[in-house]
Amino acid sequence: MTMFPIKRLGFFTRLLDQVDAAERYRLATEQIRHAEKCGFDSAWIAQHHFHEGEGGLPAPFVFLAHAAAHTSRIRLGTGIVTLPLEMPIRVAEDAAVTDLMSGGRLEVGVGPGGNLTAFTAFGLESDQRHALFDANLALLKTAWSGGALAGGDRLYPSSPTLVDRIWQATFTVSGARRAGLAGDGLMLSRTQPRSPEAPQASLADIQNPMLDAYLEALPKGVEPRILASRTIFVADDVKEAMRLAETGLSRLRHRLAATGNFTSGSLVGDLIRAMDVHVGTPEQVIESLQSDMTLQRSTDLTMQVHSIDPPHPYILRSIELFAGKVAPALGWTPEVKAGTRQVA
Amino acid sequence: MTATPILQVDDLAIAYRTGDREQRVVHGVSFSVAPGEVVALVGESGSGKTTTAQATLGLLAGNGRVESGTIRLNGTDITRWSQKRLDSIRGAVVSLIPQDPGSSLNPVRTIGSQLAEVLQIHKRGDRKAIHARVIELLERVGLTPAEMRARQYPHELSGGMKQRVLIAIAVALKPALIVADEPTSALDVTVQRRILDLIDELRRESGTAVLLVTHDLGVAADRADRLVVLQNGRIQEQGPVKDMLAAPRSAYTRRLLADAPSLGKPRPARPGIDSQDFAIEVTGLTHDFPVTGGEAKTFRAIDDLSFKVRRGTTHAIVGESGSGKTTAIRSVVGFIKPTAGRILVDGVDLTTLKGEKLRQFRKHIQLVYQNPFGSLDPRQTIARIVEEPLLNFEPIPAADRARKVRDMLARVGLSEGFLERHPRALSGGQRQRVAIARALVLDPRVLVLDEAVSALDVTVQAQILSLLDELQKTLGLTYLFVSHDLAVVRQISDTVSVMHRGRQVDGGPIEAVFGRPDSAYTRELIDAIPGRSLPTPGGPALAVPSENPPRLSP
Repeated sequence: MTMFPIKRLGFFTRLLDQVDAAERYRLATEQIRHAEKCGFDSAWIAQHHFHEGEGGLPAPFVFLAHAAAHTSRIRLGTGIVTLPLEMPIRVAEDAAVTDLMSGGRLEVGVGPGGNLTAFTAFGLESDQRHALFDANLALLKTAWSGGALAGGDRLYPSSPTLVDRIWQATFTVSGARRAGLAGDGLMLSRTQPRSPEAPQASLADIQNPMLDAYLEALPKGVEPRILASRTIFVADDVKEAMRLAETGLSRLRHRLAATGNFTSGSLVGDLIRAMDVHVGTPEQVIESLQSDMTLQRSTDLTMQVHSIDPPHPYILRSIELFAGKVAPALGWTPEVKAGTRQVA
Repeated sequence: MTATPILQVDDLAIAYRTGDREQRVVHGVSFSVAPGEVVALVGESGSGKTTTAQATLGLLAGNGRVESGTIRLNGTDITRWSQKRLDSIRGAVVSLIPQDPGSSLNPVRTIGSQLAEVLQIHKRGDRKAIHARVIELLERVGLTPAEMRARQYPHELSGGMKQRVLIAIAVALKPALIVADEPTSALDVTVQRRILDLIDELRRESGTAVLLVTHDLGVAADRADRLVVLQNGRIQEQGPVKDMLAAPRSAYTRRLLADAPSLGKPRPARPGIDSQDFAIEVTGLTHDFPVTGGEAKTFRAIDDLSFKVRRGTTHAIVGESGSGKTTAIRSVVGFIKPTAGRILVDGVDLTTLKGEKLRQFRKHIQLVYQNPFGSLDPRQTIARIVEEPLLNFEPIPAADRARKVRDMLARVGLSEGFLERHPRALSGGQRQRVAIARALVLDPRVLVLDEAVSALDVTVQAQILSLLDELQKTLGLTYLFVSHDLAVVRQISDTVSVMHRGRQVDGGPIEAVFGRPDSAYTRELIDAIPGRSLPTPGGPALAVPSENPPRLSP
């Protein structure tokens, strides 16, 4: 018997709807409100600079403050802030203010990511990203905990509890170990590149050693927080799901081929496997997710529709089906708060 | 005893499917376990002991199938029950203490919730009653304060504590039979002893029968009423422990007994060794690690360790997890720089060497690791694996290299047929031979063996130990042998350092340390070694004073 331990359900978006920026922000807000209504515990947005095909949002805290005003319960997170490209004290300030305005609902995912050309534009060296990340994260923690900054000033408003809401995103075992040592949460990617030695490795083959390293390094007295992001698209009809998957994935295939990362055949089935996509009816998606061994050791599961990126109404329906039918099969139960009983 | 056996296995045959082939791995096995009895299934890797035990719980891997025979639990034939039907008895009638406590608990759920789960599934009371029972169980297995433990996550517990949680889960519903599959193989020897004692106590309290699966004849001899010895899926012999140890009938049991390391077999004293010629001299070795998260704090992994090793002899470093033994040898081979102290190898102070000089020096001192599965590159041929150090250090002609590789393989007892094979085609013992050949190809003077035989079956272990002994004699090698297994250590070492929490608590000639240990810790270690019940054909068993020796009145 396998018991899945998923405690919290998340909705994640890169704001990639095929519309202009203003409309992207409106639709994403609507998707997050819908997720809250369906019982999701958290919503996460990604930060991307410059490249509109990569992601639609460079200013995460501005958007989250807006989302906070349109929701009341759902936790709001960055997935992630590209920390090497930021001024850490400004991030600390924006996050502290957003957290206060949202009623303490902020979660802060950080990572050493970021587009290589963005480093040039920001006047930074991309090969310094890890050193920048470490230094900026340390400063962020000092600032939030009310520690003295260079020159003796302290952050206003200080926000000491935000230190316990940091998540580190990583692709590597050593990165997972660092997240564990720091007592931060661990964010796992929806897919990862396979090494040439093991082209057929499953995503769990790659991510389980990361989980081991994280848990081994985690200090006593710290609750493990492991968030697995997955590409999940649930639809009522399997044919429709596959048609939309083919459209979306093919978009990506051309881009991957152009960058030389294309290793799979052209069939949609190959793409689904190669990109670790869970798509289909609720029953099909449940079966697919249950075979992902990483999820047996994850506390948080977030769904994102990238890289299928179906039209907005399908995203809303997928959110409903995921919370209503799929997630309960993975051990998740919606949190029922006293006095907030929903009437269907 | 005339009572119905708790477990009755008759003529059981089990096969595994790979591709479209089925291969039989258990052949007509029959045995029984009476109420309250402890029966040990003993055998080496591939003997079918775990497969047989899994079948009694209906937990065969997906490609495994019971071909014929029956498994009766309390007289009821459960051989062809569905998983759903088996769920109703698993935990309640028969339960499992699994092998690896590390991966058997869910890391992101609290101890309390995992213990409560088994009670909830079998509907043993309301939330409050279940919580009370969880606390009671945690206290019973010695996990206190229980309220705090219930709220902890697995990563906050040691290996022994995790095994206690799994034992609590196994006994929660008071089953009639517990299947314990290598329950202590991953644990230190003193922890192993406490865990086996705990299982014994719980068994006596509630009259539970135990099917103990183990590769360790010492554990089986000490803990079981009856033994079932398996080899290649067939029972070689079964009967009461006392009878089998006194007069084993099958040749295989006799070999297992002869190969089992035990305290009864010290190595013969070595004649004619120049007592002042030291290959390794370690003085005042200290190593501090920075503690992350805190402020400028350090953790002292090794505290003032000193020992000397005579050329051509074997010195053992013994200790449990966290004792500092691994850090010590990493310093000796020059992988890490100690905080303080001096390490002389062949008279050269390693701590003063840097860069290329250090690299060149390393060829005199080679390391053989524990895991023969993980330490060889799976993509390389055996020839390439053994040759590689030569390419890194000594630019010699290809023909000479090839000859040297062949010589080395011959020395470790592998034919030329192995040259073009890959590690995956080799057994554990063969892989460890390759690792030794690779270490020896640079003609080192010192070999550091880090738990080098710990992962091997006893008969293979005995072969590798005798190979090491022979190589030491012919090549004049000095060994630094790191192990947690005191019985093996006593068998092959001349001198020993016993480490505990970074300090050397005992040191000197092996007979002196084992016969008259200075520290209470060493005495506890020696007492905890399983296999006290094994016969000692090599001579009288070593008298281990477990209490204070009687004093002469003045």
